[in-house]
Amino acid sequence: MKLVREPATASDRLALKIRGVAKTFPGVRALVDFDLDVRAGSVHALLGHNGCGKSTLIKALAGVHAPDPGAKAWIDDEPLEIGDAVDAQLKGLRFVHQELGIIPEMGAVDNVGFVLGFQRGRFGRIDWRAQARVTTELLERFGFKLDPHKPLAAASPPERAAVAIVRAVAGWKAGRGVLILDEPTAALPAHEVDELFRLVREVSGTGTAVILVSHRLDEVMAIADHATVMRSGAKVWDGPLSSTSLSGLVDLISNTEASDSTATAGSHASGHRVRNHTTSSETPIALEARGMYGRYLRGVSFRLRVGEVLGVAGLLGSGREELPYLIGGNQRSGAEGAVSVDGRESRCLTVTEAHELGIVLVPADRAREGIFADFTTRENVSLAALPTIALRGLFTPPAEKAFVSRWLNAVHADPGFSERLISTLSGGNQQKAILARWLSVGPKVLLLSEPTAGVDIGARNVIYQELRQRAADGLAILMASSDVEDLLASCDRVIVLRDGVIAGEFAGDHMTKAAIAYAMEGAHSEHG
Amino acid sequence: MSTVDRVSEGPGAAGTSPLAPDGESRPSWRRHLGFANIGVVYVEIALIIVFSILAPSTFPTWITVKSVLNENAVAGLMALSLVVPLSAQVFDLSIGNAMGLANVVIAWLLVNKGVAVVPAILITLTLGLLIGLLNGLVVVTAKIDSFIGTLATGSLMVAAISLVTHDQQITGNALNGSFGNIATTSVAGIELPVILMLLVAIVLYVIQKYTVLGRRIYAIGFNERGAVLAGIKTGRIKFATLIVSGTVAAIAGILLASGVSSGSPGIGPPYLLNAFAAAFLGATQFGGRFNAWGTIIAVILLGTGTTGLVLVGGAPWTQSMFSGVVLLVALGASSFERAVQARAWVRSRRVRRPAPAE
Repeated sequence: MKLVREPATASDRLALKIRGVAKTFPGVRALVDFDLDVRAGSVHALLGHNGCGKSTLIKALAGVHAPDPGAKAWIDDEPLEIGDAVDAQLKGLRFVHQELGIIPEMGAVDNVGFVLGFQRGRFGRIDWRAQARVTTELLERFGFKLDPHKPLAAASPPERAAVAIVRAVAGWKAGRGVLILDEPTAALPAHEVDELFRLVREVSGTGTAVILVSHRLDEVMAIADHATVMRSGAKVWDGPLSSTSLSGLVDLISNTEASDSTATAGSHASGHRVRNHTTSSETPIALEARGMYGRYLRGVSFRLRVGEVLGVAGLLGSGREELPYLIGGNQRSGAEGAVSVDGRESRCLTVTEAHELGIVLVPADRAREGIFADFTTRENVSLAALPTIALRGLFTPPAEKAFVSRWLNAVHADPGFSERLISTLSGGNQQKAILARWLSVGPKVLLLSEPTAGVDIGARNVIYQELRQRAADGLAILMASSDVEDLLASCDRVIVLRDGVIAGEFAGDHMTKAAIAYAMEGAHSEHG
Repeated sequence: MSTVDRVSEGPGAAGTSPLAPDGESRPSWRRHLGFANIGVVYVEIALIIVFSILAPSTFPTWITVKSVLNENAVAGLMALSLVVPLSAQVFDLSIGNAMGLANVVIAWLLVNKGVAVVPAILITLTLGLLIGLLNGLVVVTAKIDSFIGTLATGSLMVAAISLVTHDQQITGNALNGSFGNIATTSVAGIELPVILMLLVAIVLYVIQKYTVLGRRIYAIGFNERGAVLAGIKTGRIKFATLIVSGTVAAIAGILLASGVSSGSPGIGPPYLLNAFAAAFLGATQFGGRFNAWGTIIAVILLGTGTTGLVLVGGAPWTQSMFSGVVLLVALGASSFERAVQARAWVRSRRVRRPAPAE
């Protein structure tokens, strides 16, 4: 990254002061007695893993969650009622989430007008010419030139983000307010990030405070001047970024040294990390992927051996989430790459072709892509293998029931779920059902994306064990996950993607949480 | 480490067994006989009782039963034809006009062209198939939203109807005789259209309940993206459902021509709304998805109401009002019951399982 941090424009005046905010969910203290000081004109990064409490904090500020009683906050020295969305808006807290909240079918004119109001002409009609002029001026003030009438769907991602940010901060008196950017770059390819950050600098240059939530530490180092690191709902570090380094931040966030030793100890106790030592260079190759290109991927090649569990790590936007889909046959236009199974090479598979080769995919977004919410668990499990139970397309309910019971048992789910709508099951049991669906077709290669998202720890361990067992029986498994613990718990080898290419490969003793985290962030380990 | 994992393990740790925390289902008899499952049957029974009290000499008779069935067979076929694409979440709004076109084309072939009965029927059935093909090309190949696409093809059919009939009713002797006998052939007073309707219902029931194809059609309707990822050839199947609806609508048009001995422009569209009413009402029955027997029962309910209202001397407007009220009440009642169940489920879950932190 070529970005150079600009001289700090931050003043000593506090734009946002928070004291003693806490949030308790039944059974979980998501946020523990949290204090935060954000200076005016600073870019303040809020860092931490999923579940560290930063989303809870943002949601409390946005008024989505009411915090536990006793929390106090001030914006520009005015008291703020935390948990009150209207008060937050009134006092000058503005949020831009990753989804931006824009209407892509409409141009900047409308998207700005909906939030800031439209320029009116006589009889209350909208003066479109004035509206377009105001919109253009607003965007130009922040260095963006775009046709205000062009639908935002046709604009570049940074331009879309610019519209969302500009309309959030417009109308503030100079140096007032706090802009909160929640994962603004998560879905952006690396080369589009610079443009967005230029805008962030413009905003903070006016004296507005910017709170930046991001997983990409290199970007944080480039743009932010201050950071707060959270773990387990509490602040573990707070200070100027000039006093730390990229690897220092990785250590603070992951608690790498501590967790690596305990994770190893813990895994010996629970026995989940029994590695499959049978895979070696002599083991036959189950799948070879060459030159995979897509929206994020910039040429990824790898080999997956029979009986191997290969993990794919990477930040959002690294191509980690795209890879399983490209191999599994769900191609976007413009995707490239060759996949060969058993020496048969295919370019740009369709889902059906992938199935014929024995490649199946457990998708990431369970609700939208995995389950059929209006089907029973039985129907969800049997969907893929139904033709094999049927005779000339006709099946008998007892045969289906027996088949589904057998597979629910195989993945350690209660066969009693069979006749319940799958939407009434817990995330863990839903995922087991999806796993049963795909294992039941007898695949050669199983691709998984985010296999444990929304899955409780009990079901998680069952899934890990089940995957290890299947691998021992000869199934080749590719598992992409944003949760490094997933990969450590079940993989023989992990490849780390960064900006669309393989940035590291780890196996055996080199496969540690720290090593993977450093590779994901592009940092160099300071302790070897 | 311990604190890190305490937070992430929190939600799962509350339910000790991964198998335990998913709540129990209600006793099965309550589900099978509950209002949400077979409410239309209860409304039908109530209607029979009310009309029997109001018109004791004319309503509770075998004649009424026969006329309700015979007069609604075509409507039943239309509703069944709609159920097929609807199960895949495809709206075929052209079936009213498809049926109307088949109705005038067969009359035109028999009366104006002197075509023999069997070839005329075959040609008209082929026409129905072609209509389905056209709809498939529009909805699947050209990817035009089915709601708008079939509205447009329906408009093309209106033009064809006008072209064939010059907006005049087609009547003639060729529509009586052996062709006219088709719709009136009866077994124990039950006419052929009713038997055909039941036959189509049986076939549809078997397909939806016992075949891979039927399951896949539902899968597309419930989650098309999921169906694509599950390797289901969604385009091909949606195409097929439209061919089925076009062909069954053509059968309905032929039977109607035989039954009333004429081909009439404008006869089809009124059937569309009733078919939708019956299909949606039917979908609230027997488990909450579009299905054959729910649709048949809904057709019979609507038919019972309109026949009963005639027998008790109700004004003409009461029939349309009846259809509207029944549909709204039935849909409202079942969505209300579902909302109550969902709320109870959420409440039971909230006790067992704390919300995740993020």
